[in-house]
Amino acid sequence: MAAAAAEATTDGGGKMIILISADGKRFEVTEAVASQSQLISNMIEDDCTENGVRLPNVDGDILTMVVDYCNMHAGDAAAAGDTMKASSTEEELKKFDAELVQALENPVLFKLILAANFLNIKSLLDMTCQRVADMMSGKTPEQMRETFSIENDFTPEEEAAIRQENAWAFDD
Amino acid sequence: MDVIATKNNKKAIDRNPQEPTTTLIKTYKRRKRRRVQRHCHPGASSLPNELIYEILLRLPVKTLSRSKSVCRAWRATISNPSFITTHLKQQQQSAVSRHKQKPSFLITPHTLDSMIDDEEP
Repeated sequence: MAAAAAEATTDGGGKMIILISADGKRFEVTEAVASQSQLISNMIEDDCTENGVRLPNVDGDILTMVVDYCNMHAGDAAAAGDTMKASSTEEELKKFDAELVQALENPVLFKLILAANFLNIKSLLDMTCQRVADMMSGKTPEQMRETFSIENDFTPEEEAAIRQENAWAFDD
Repeated sequence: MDVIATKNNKKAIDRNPQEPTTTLIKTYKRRKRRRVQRHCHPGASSLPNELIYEILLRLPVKTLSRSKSVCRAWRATISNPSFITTHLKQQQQSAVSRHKQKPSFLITPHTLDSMIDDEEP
C-alpha cells in the first residue's frame, strides 16, 4: 500500500486506472500498479483505458487479491536501485506472498491462477502455480484426480503397469 | 486455432477429397470437444492444459513420477522429451533461487530407449 502511494506521488500525481470486475466492482489503481499486468500495460500503451478496464472473467473477490498483490509489488522496480531498501522489502514481499496463498482453498487458488494468466502477471502466475505444486507433493494419484477433477481413463491393467514402472515414487 | 484447423483439413482432404471443407471443420471441432470432455468432469472447476503444464513443471521428480498414473493426458505430457528438458531447467532455476535443494532430474524408459536407438548403427 505504502509503495503504491509513493509511486503515485513520484509520478507527479500518477494517472489512475479503473478496473471493473465481472460482478461490477470497481478498483482504482495507479498506472504503475496496473501495468504489472502485461495485458493492461498493453492497453495503457494503446490508450484504451479511458472508460475503465472491464475484466469480464475475473470476479470481484479474486480481483481484490490481484489488486492487493499488485499494490504490494508496485515498488519492486523502483526499489531495485536501492540495495538496502530492496533487501528489507524483499522479506516483506515474501511474507505477504506466502500469506496471500496459504489460506486459499483449491477452487479459489485455481481462479487466482486463471486471473493471473488472463491478466498476464508472470510473478503472480509463478507463485500460484508453485503453491499448487507444493500442495501436490505427498498426494496419491487418486487425490490428484480429485483436486483437478480428472477422470481415470486407464484400464486397471494399464494403471498397475505404470505404477510398477514408477514403483519407487510410491514408497514413502 | 485457424492454422491447426487448416492443417487438419489438409490431412483430411488427402484422405477424402470429396468431402466439403465446412463439414471437415465441424468434424474437427466436434472431435476436439469430445477429447477435452473425456479428461474433465463437465462443470467441475479445473484448469486448461497449458496451466496444468505450468504446475507439472514445478513438481519434484518423485511427485511427478506418481502423477503419471493420474490419466493418459498427464502421462503423455510428463513422458514428452521436451517436457523433461524444460522440467530440468525449471528445477535448476528454482534450486538456484531457493539455495536449498540440488537439481533433480527425470529419466524415463522413453529417454533411455531413444538413447539406445541412437547408438545403433
